[in-house]
Amino acid sequence: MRRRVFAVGLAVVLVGLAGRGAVGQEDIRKPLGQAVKAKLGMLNVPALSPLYLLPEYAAKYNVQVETIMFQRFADARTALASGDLDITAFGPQDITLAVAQGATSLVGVAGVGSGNDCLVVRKGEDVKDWKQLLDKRIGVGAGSISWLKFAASVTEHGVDYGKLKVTNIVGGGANYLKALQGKEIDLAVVWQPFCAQGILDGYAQYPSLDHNASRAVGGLISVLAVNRGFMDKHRDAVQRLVVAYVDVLKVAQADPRRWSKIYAEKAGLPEPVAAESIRITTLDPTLPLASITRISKFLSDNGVITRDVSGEIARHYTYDFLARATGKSPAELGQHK
Amino acid sequence: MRRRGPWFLLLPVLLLVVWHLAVTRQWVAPGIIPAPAQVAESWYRWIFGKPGLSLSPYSGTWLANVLYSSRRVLEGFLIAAAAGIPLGLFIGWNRLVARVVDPSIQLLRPVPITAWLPFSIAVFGIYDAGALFLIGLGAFYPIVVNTTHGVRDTNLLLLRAARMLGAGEATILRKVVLPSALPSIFTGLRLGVGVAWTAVIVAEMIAVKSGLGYVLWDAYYVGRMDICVATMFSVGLLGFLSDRVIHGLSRVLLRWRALEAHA
Repeated sequence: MRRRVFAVGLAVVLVGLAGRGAVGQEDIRKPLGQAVKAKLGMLNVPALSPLYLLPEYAAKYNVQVETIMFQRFADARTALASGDLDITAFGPQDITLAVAQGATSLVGVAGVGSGNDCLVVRKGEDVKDWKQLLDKRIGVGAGSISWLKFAASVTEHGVDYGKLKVTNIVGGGANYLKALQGKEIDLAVVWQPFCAQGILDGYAQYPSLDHNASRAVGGLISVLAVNRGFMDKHRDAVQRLVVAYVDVLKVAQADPRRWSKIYAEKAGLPEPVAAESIRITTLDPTLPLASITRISKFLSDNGVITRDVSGEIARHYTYDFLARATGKSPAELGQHK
Repeated sequence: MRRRGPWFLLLPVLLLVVWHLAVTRQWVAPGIIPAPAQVAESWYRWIFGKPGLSLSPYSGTWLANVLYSSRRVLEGFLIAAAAGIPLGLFIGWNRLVARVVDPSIQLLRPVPITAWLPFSIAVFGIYDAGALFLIGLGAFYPIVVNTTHGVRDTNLLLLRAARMLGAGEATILRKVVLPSALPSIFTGLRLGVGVAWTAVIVAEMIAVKSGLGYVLWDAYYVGRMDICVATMFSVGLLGFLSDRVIHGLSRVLLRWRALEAHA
């Protein structure tokens, strides 16, 4: 008798929990009772281009997204930290950089994927060995994730970064390509769509080296982050934004041609350039926290930041929203990767 | 006799106190603006620290960067002065030159230095030539405009007297007009050197791998606002010192004005 009562009780609890889960999923897809406005920081890079669809998808949940364009991750980071933005995507190193300066207002909520960053050389001037870089003039964008990947890859392959002839080029990828064409640099450490532009214009090629696979930094492109004040005030809206974000990533993953078209249209690029740009980009909302921790350690070990924040960086990321949006556990979403 | 106190320190100290309070009492979001003490510490390390790790250029490299920027400012400024002073003299002196050249200068003058960036990269490429072009261009306008103004303001009585004494055009230009225009020329040079320091930040943000402008942007990208602020102070300080040098030079060369005033 006792056993039967226990079994029935257990069944009731399980059904209740399952039902609650279902209701939870319904809840996060239910439009908000009152509209919430959110400012989204956006950059014209292929990995982030699915975010162009976010306003449309978030509107289904009664979250009104206003998109604000930026030229650099650094500007988006500053705007998010100061509360001028509510949500944006930037480099996986950006929260670390901000935390090292004492900023606590940034919270990472999802990943973006891998790839996107690329090396490019003049056509016919391949670089096959990392040691060859010592003779090359290299254009980088200091502080960018592409630069970090490059610095980590170079170091891991036994080349002293300090001995490289590195020039910091700012003001967008067009300047890198111009410098490459003008033979002022021999290799550009950039990101898409700039590699694709040079390649499809016929004067550039990818070298044999790939800087997307270093142990310290990995291939991560970007993270989606929210302002902590906005998150504390509008948790339901953030949840719906993450749900909408996962939805738009699925749309792009399922139909790369559509993704490419959206990117070409929004960025004003020829379709072949957009298609080549997204070819080396893998979209993935998982958040590899161990990798971000390694990036943080790399930044402090190399003196970019003055304080090692790798031990505390996990406090500036949350899996709450992504776990609910995907129905997966933090471990499944990359907590230990 | 009443003693003069260091009143010039009052406003900077007041601003420092407000800045310190704004950061420590979190009137601004934490981590956005560094505290004055943090800036001072980072600046000290930037000046006196041992050269750092390869990815961190903010230890012991201040002097090298100051020298790089100073060299660019000096070169750009000298180019601007070499072009601006003679051109200003001719525009002010000769109506035909004024009609031909002055409208173009007035047309181009309002174009900000930042707007010239893409043109500079396209024509001069990255590296120093582009930087010198931008600095020189920035400093050129105040020099040429003030020189022109100085020439046009030459006392007519002096010109008539020189002509009556049989002086030729070249002699008048050299011995009457140029000395008379010198105060305005020095005003142009002082304004020009200030603009040159402004332009060096823009110029060095393009592509060069050294100088204060480079450090400012590099530091911003990696979130080092303390170094950004230290760079801003450095540029301000160097701009001030450059101005003092030109001012000192003008006092030596224009000593006759002081004597004239006392006569």
